[in-house]
Amino acid sequence: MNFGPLIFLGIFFTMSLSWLGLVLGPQLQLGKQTPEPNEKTGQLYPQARSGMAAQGAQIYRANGCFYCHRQQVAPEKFASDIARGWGSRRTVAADYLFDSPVMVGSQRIGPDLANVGLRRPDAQWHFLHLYNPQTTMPAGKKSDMPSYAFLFEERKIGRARSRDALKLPANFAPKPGYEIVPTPAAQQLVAYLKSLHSETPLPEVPSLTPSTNKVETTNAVAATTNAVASGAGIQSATAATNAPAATNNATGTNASQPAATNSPAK
Amino acid sequence: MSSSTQELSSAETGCPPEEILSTQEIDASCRYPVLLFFISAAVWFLFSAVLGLLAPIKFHSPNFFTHCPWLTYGRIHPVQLDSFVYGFAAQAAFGVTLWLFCRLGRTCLFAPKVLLLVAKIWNLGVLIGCAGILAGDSTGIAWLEFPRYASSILFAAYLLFGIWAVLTFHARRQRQLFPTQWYLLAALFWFAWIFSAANMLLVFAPVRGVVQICVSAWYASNLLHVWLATIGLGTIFYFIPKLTNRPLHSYYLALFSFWGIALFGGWGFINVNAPLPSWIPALSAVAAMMMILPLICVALNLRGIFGVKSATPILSFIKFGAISFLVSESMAILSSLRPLNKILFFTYFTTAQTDLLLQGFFASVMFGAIYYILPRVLGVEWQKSIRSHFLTFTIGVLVYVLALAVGGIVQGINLNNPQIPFADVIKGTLPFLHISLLGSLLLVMSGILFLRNLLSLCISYSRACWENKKSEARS
Amino acid sequence: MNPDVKNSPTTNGTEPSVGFAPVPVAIFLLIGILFYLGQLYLDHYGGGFNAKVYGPYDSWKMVQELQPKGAGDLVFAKGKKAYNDVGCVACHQATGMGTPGQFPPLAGSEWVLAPGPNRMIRIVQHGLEGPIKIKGTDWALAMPGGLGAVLSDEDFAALLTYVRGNKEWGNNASPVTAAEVKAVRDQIKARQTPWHADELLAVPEK
Repeated sequence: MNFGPLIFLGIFFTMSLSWLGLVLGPQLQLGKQTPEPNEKTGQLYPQARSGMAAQGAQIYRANGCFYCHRQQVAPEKFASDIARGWGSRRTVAADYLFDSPVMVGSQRIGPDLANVGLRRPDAQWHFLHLYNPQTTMPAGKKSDMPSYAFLFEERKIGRARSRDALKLPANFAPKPGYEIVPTPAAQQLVAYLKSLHSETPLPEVPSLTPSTNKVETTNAVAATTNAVASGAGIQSATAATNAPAATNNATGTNASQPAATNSPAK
Repeated sequence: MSSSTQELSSAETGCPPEEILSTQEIDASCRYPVLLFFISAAVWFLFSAVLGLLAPIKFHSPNFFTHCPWLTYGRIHPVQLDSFVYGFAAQAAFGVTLWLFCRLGRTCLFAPKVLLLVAKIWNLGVLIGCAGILAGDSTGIAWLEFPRYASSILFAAYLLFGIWAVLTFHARRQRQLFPTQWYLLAALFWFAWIFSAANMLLVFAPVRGVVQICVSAWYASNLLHVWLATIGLGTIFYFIPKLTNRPLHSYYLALFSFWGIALFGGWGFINVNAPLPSWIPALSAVAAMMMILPLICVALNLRGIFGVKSATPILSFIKFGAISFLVSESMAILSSLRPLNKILFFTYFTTAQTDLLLQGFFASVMFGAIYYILPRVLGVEWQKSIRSHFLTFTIGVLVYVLALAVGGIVQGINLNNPQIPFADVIKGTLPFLHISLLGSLLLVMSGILFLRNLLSLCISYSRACWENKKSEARS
Repeated sequence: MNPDVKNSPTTNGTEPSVGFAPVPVAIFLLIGILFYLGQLYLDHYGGGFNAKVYGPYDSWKMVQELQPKGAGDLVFAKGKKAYNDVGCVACHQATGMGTPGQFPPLAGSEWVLAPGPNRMIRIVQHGLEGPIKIKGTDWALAMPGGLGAVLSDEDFAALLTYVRGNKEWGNNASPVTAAEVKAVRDQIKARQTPWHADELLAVPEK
């Protein structure tokens, strides 16, 4: 009995099953995704990163930040991510469209970074944190993150302190006459970290509490809100592109509208 | 075919091949390639174990070596994993595969010199890959961190190896197949496919966005749960009957587990919350559940052997490997069940599960196999104690895996409670990490013992050669 | 001779043999059961293989039903987002209950439920320091400033509307408009430091 060809075909077939399901299937469904106009912001989402931030992503990759930090927010009722303030909604495929490699990470040794750009908009904080994570910890607390001092340069102060020099607390400061300056790699990495945010509301992730607020509006407002409701179906993306003005109007009126809409309960 | 035991040795099949090779001749034909693969594997094992001890030091004293970019945790960690998989596991697998193809096919190794070259190229590839990661050239994809210049070298070496292994398989004189050959032959093709496909789709011409997550999960699960699992199981199915002197329980169960793993092992073990449309993690979870089937088949097939007293530490290694396989795969299946997935994913529990599979299962089986094979291909006996290696290794694995598994469960439960600040969650895992360091230390010691055993065997082999030559010269 | 290997002579020529015990019927039964369960699982959690259905939503239909329908819903969703984005949630929690002894509750707090948002806008804009009485308890607070400063008037108003009118927390105060926020922000433009409770008490509630 010669099983050779049979084994080969069998292997080929079984192998291709998981390949079909986990590689080809997702590729056909998601591989051609493009940015879509967002009804709430009126802009395309997602946007590619700026040059600095894109270079920073490579620093992030080279130093394996993703072995400790994930960049994926789990949905509300599944995990504590949102309750911890790591994001306002779960992350979905669209959030990673321009990442390559996609570094979602697999461990929670450090906090999630999917929205760190929103949480920590201050570049100086990031520099201090990267130079020595202990500098940004409250007194008495210790960070387990390693220091990335190699992304900084210690140099003699010339005529004046450089603009970028770190404002280090006294106990971490370099010897007098010297200053710590971020290298371009550190600048890029921080630009990348600041570019990390996935808060744009997407129709894939509506609020889990079903709509309860019955809206009693005047006719004019009713018309605009209807436009939003119907535009919300994502498959009618083209309809939404044609009417960005209408959606902008709708969001514009929202803020001032509820005074009229929600108060009648009293 | 009746249910009676069928003896597959060439001595008892009806028609003897034209020229019957003696077992010694077969073993001797494998000698140098197998030896080179095994010694390289031992060196990489030690290398990876040392890094495994070094990397977590970063958690205990984060200010350790802060001025060396290449010693940062994010670079050492992938080097540790990849040197284990491609340095140790792959080369141990190569050696075992070659020897088993020869033994089971009753044939000599085909053109062994080429395989020496393969071993050298492969080692070069792993070395360049590790250096590349340390230099910051990692691809950023788990289990596939080797930069493209290293993975091309590895792939070239692998193709050559694969062709030679298939040629050896093809030249077999014993046409009747033993289940082990199914497993090993499949693994041969598998690796070529997954390695090339994943590199193609992730490194050379990356797919867009989250499809990368799917491809890398597909590769990781195929690498660990299919490729390594089939090689390890094939080896177990050979050595268990061999060392216990009784036939493997059932040919059919072995094939069942083979097809089960082939069908369901490669579906990613993707977590429920991954940023993917829900059908992908759902499909992945269903496949993980299906893995119960091959697992039960393996357990049934090996039933009875756990009661057999191990006459040699070789059998102990193989038995430890078999148990680790069952436990580790059960852990993987459990952690993909929906309620547990929420707690266990992204914690040290998954690390514990993976390491139990890599170390407890695969490394253990390979150690057993190497201890059996090497003295036979070299024709000399072990001089040093295998038992001390067995003890340090198994205790090391158990300490390491238990500490991380329990630590991971604690971490997961705390993580799910938003009242506990994140910093405290991490602080809570530190005691477990400290204990796991003890395990890592034992693994380093076991690596040293293993290398010492191999080297002392080589020394006694060269001494025997030298004495042979001397006596020849005298006569 | 090494005692570890005394039972395994180097020359062992016979290859292992294999039995042909049949596969137990139970295995086939198990295959059936697993396939059935798998199908149920996919049916329930597979989201109909739709590219836009993510957990925890079951189906595309459910996602559509949950889309915000009215203006009030949109503001509420926006406010909740701001609450999470700005980091309110980190201290005051998703439940609005805070953490006893550390962070005061927003649910049922008289400062939140005041007839007008005048004082609250100030707190969120600049932070709050020092002793304060909330729901009959004395607190010594150091709430950082600048949290609200990054928000637009609209988002700021939505945030306050969400906190004040959050029925899940038992709050039911009137919504806040962008105009109100803008008016107060213009008044306090010059200020840099966090507020103190006594200063705030001097500000009219509405």
